[in-house]
Amino acid sequence: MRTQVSAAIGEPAPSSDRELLVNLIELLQSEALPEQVLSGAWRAVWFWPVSAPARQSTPMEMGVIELAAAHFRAIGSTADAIRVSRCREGRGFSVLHAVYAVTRASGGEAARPDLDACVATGGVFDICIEVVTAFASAGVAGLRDTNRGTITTALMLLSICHMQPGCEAKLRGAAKALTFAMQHSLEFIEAFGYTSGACAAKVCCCVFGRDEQGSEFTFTQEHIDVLTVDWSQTVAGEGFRATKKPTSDNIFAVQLSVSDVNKPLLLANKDFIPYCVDALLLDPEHLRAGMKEELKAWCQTHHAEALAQLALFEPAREALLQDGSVVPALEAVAAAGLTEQARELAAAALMALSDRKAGTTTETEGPKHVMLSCEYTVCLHL
Amino acid sequence: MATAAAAVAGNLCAEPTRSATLDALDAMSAVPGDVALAAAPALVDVAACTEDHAEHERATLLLARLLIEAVAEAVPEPAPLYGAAFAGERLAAFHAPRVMAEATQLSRAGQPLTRKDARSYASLWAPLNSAIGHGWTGLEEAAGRDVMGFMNTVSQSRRLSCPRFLTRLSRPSWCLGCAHAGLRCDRRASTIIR
Repeated sequence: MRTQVSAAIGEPAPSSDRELLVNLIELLQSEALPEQVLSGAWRAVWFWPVSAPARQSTPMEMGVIELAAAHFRAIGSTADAIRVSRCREGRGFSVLHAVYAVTRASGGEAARPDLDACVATGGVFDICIEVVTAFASAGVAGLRDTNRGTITTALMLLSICHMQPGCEAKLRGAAKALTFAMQHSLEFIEAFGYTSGACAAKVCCCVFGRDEQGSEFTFTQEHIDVLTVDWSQTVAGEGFRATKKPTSDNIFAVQLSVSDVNKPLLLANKDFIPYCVDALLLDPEHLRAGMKEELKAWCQTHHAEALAQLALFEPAREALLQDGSVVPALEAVAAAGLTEQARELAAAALMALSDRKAGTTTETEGPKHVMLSCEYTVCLHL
Repeated sequence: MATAAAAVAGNLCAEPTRSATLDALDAMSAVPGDVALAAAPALVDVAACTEDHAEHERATLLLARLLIEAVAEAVPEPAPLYGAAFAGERLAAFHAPRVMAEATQLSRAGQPLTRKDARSYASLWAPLNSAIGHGWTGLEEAAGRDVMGFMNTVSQSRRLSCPRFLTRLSRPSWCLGCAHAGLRCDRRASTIIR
């Protein structure tokens, strides 16, 4: 199946594809359409970047994210927009999903005008915060009537935007609503990991993952397990995730590996360390070997840092040393990693592990982290 | 025009009775469940094979409406109706409708695609939108596949609209009509994809 999808996506698109996309967006911009056609037009825009990721620029040039915010607002209240019975044609979902598709097509790019547009005041990011808040406000009684696609997509967009200026504070303010979304997970496409609970876990990971004690949010083993499955399948390129690039939009392993509160949960998942090793992308036959160099470099660096953070945690060091693949992999990255940062992080991890092996651990109080300066110099913060 | 469950599919597929049957279904305040189940696959056939943009939109939006009504009923869920509409080759045919294939061919010959074409493309997504609110997995299971299967089929169907595939199509006779005696399907998507 992966081969079939990749072949379809990789096929050069005829110029008529762009014409149709332009016409679709112009249709949305200029005409009063029947509600079903309107909703369908947004769904059609959603399908477009999936089919042709190289052409994500067209929606941006035509202001599709701003248009999406306006169309979502036009539905009425956010509380209505997330209810199946009040938004029967599913426009709320199709609008947000079109935006998600545009942002997904831009994943891994250095410049992200798509995210800038999303976080504009009153824009898509604010809408997504409102969606999650309205979902929680409706309580358990509202679950049955919730459009699962709308809540799931809103959560996915929140995690993608979390690093934009001003977003973290708003997300921390929505901690209770995010907790509700995790505790009352609704399945949208379970096989893809598209459940509201899993998507809320990603958002919480971005925002609260590095917190030590006193966080507004507490992770459970189930959250960690769900996230590990999602990330490992994304890196491995399995199934539907073959079309989803591992980027800072969707992988947050480092965030969780910083906090000593979360490290025991990571260790309790037997797949987490093997996943980090796999994500170093050392195997020349890896399914992601053909990915763009920048994306491979990001992926390797991110997971080298996750391993370095774990290496500073006594129980994790033991687990890392017991796994026969970790040290050789770190040595390979330290010697010939894709970035200077990755090489330094791998060396830092090896140093922490070798301290343990030589019986020269330094006992100090408080959590230990790998700190990165703006020049990407790595030091052990003990 | 008779809209009883036993007759509605045939009346939709037959050109002389199609328009009146669409009118009759549109006029119903709520389409009975058995009629909706019988009409749904025929509406897909009409949408796939008509050469008329307006008729294509009528068929797709009526199907979307039937799915909305099924969602509102709650029990049964829309899955059986969705499954009846899009099982087997109908999904591929629905997403490579004749109106789009011909527009794409004309586009290759230098005649740009228009908003009318875009509107047809938009309307064919309306049924999925109307059914999907309570989750997607069950819908595709009812149609005999998973969501990944949907993605593959629709991705490939788009290629049916490309000229090099279109040239391999025989002129469609009316209706995919796999279930209707006397009607023949000339656009068997899986054959073309292979």
